[in-house]
Amino acid sequence: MLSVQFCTDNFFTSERGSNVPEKIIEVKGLTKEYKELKAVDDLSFDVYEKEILGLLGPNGSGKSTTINSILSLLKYSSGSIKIFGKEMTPSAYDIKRDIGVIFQEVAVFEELTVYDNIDYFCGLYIRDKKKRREYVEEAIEVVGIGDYKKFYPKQLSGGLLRRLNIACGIAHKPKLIFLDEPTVAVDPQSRNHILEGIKKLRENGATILYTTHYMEEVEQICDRIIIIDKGKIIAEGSSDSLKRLANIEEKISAEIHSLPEKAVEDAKKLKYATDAVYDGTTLSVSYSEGRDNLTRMVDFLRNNNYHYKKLYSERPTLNDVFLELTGKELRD
Amino acid sequence: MTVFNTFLKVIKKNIVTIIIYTVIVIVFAAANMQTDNSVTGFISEKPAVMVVNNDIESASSKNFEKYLDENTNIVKIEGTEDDIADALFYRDITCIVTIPKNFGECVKKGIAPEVEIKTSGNEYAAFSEMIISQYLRIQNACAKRITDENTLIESINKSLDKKAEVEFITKLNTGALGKAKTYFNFAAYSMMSCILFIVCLVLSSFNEISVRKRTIVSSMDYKKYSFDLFLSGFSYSFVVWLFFMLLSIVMVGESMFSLRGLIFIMNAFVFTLSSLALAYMLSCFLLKKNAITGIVNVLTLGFSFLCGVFVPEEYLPSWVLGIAHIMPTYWYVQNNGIISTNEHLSGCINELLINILVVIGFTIVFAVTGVIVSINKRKIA
Amino acid sequence: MFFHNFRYSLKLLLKNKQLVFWTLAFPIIMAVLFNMAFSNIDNTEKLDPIDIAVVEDDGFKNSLIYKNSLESLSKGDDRLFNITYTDEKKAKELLTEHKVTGCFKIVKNEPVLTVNSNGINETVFCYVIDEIKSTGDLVTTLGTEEIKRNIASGKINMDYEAIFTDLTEDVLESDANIKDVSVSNMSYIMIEYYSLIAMACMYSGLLSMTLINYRLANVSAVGKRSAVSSAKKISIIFPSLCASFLVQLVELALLYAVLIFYVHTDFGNEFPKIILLSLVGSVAGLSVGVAVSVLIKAGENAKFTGLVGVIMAGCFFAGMMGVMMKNVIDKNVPVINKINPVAMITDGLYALYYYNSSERYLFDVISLAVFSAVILLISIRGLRRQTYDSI
Repeated sequence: MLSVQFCTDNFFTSERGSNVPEKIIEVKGLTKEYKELKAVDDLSFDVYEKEILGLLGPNGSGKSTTINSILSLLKYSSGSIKIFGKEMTPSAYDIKRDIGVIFQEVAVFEELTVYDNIDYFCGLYIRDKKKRREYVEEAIEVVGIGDYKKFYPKQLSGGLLRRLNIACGIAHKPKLIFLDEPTVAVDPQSRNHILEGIKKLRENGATILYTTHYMEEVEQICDRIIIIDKGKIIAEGSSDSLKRLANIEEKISAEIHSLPEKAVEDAKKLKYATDAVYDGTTLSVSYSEGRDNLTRMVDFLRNNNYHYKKLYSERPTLNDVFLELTGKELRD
Repeated sequence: MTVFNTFLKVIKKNIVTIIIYTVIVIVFAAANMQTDNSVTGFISEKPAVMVVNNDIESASSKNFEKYLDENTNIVKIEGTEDDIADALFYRDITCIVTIPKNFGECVKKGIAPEVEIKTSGNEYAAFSEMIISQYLRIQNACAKRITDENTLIESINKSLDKKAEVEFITKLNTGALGKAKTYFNFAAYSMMSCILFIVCLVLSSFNEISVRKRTIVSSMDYKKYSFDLFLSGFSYSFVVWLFFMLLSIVMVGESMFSLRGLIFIMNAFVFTLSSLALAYMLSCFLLKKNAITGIVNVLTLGFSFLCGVFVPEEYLPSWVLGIAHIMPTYWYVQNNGIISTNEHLSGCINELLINILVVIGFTIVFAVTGVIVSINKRKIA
Repeated sequence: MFFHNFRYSLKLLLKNKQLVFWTLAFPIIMAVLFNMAFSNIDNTEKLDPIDIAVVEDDGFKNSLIYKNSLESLSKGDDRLFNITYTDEKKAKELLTEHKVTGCFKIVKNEPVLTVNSNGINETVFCYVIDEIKSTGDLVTTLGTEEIKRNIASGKINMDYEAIFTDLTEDVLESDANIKDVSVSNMSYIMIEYYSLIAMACMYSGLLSMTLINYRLANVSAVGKRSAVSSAKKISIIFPSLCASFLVQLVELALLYAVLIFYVHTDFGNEFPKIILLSLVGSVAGLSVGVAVSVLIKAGENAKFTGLVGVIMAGCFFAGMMGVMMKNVIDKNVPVINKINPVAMITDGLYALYYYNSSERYLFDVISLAVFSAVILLISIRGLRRQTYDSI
């Protein structure tokens, strides 16, 4: 239906020097079928060393299925998956040693304390007690739950629980980290903390595959973004390059009470305007290009005596990109 | 209506558990009931006895066997020695009599032959021993004086044929009433389990702090909400009670269609109310779902063991029966006993009423305790 | 890796309150309940003195044989009757109120008994009176014969009273010459305690089920973590099973302690064999838990309740809720108890208590081992699976 649009945008030669980075994950033609429904449809993409790749898509787009397939938890119908240059299989323990996963559901033991939970899961990778103890303390430090070491999961708030969930997945200092919607139902403070923590992990050399349906998050931390819908990639590139796909340069919104239908039609006819929408309180006009769109908008409103309370200009969001490409909103 | 529907939904969700409980308890009741025929006259209990006759040819031993056949229930156990030993252990037979090879010879000579017995040690075994002993004593006494075998046998039989006259003065259908008593006693365990488990589960779901907060701030009148909850619980308990009463007609038979049958049913209804109140009280303690199964099992099994449901009252030590007084099941079981054995109901109506009042008292105590506990918890929360 | 997983498995088990209740507290509570309910049952099984009412009128006072016989039968610690001597009206009252089993009166020199229900006591009462009647009749017959003989042989002057008194004594003291070869281990209440031990062995399945649930990716979120880790599945599952087994052993030891020192259950003399049976029984329980975890597709709570229910059903067929049930099943539908591990354990303990040979016991132990092996084999496919169709 939609062709995949690529915007590599000198991604690899800019800050990172001219070396071609290693491909950490190579996904080729991944397909997963559930009876007649294709949850993932011929998906191909790569994840490069030390990048944070965002997998962005609405609920049910196939993000978790993709992750579970890459991790060899799910049987997939066809395709090939390579991690660190080797074929990924359920018994590829040498590959798994360097992988850390933070699942969407909180995966901790209710019966163990915060410290014990992290220690247990780290112990599945690190046998040396002394080393493990250091790692566990570091992980606690990184996610910022040092005050809650002896607490049980039941006693933690949603945000702290998510942080614990992350600590359990990264304590063993993996080189490749999968984060599957780690900030669902998390308070803003915890969310920021988590996002900053992820950036730090990359600074320490990790490669990260991050799935979410929050566009603000991918814009904040991801180097590259893949937009996925109904199991297919519909766009791929950096945040800026993707936004250009929205064919929107700017969106100007005015808060106006009771605007007649004619006004919306007239607004659509403004120079460079591509669309105008009035939702009862706010008139939003999208422009494909142009420099003085704001001035023209003000003139239009004044000349027609449309009194506005507020007037502001926005850059396009990834939601706009998604809307442009699929006709749907990212968040339902 | 909302509350009622939610109640139904929660029951539906736990329907598998309910079915498991119900099926298990029905099978219990069916298996534990004695298969008595209707009896309206005196019938001698005949202990089950197995005879091993190693002197089949002699007339004396044949006579002995004949006597045993008339006074006991001769059972032939097929199989190995182990099977026979099992039969004795499980009281399928209460006594094994071994007639020695020289039985007839000894009798002819006027000597007392040695007869071996192996018993299960209970009252039926003691009775079997009495029967055997009586024959042998008579035989041995006669054998000292009478030498001719045929005359001897005639004398023995003549003496043993003497029976006293027995008047049976009850008009009660003791067999059917015994069955009814067993069924209704067992039903105490069944009904209480079904009611306690489900009602506790449902009420504690409603009592969960998050649900309760929502309910309190909703526009629904709290009194109406409480009443709806009560009505739903009551309806469920009523259905359980009705089900077990219908089942009683199937299990016990026609004799349920009588005044006594009605009193059994009414007694069971009062007991149902106390179970409901107990369930309400337990749910006010805000037990976790996981704890409910455990607590319900301990309570229902405890009540049933100590109040004469699983183990008949006459076998329980007196101090246990003393403790049982603080359980509603005890008073319910007492009434079942009165209804099934008393000749004239008018004579024992007072006792029946007192026991019912005690059970009602329990109901009130449970309900009031529940209310007090839940008010306190509301304050703290 | 082994000790790491073992240590945490232990923690997970011991901190799970629900689990600790069902596997430790519940069997001990049941043992205490059983003890309270059954402590008297062996005593009451024996024949207690029967309460009767005797109508003490002239007819009775003149019937020496009944008067003397009843008197001697109501004396001493092992007496047969507790007699209330009264008038006819009061006697009938006592009977109606169920304060006595029966009434005795003499009508026209013959005994008449009155009872109002059927039961062993009523039967014994009637039989004893018949016995006295028979004895009396025998004495009369034999006495008459002797007198005839004496007359025939010319002895005319006889002491008739002495003849009948001697005869009565003779008949009453006539020895039945019965040899009682009963065994002493006849308390069938033991079955209840044995099936309780069997239940405790099988409850080890709850332990293994809980831990295996934590290890399977398609059952729990933490299972997913284990699945993506670099730890081999066997290195996680095996320590879990060992931990379950250890906890089970400790809990079983505590139950045995209660049964031996508080309840004074009789286990016979074969304690090592009992330990072996318990160990194999626990393995059977563990294997059932593994199977339920791997093979049953349901929520955790449903699995837990389901397993408890299945074990209790097994206990029922093995005689815990009525000893006779085991006998009924063994005789009529033996296949049920041939595949019921609770019954195998119960039967093994029973065989040690009651029989001299070990054949039946060994059969039960081997059956349990075979049962465990089969169940584990069935589960192994599910255990080893690493990828799923859906998660």
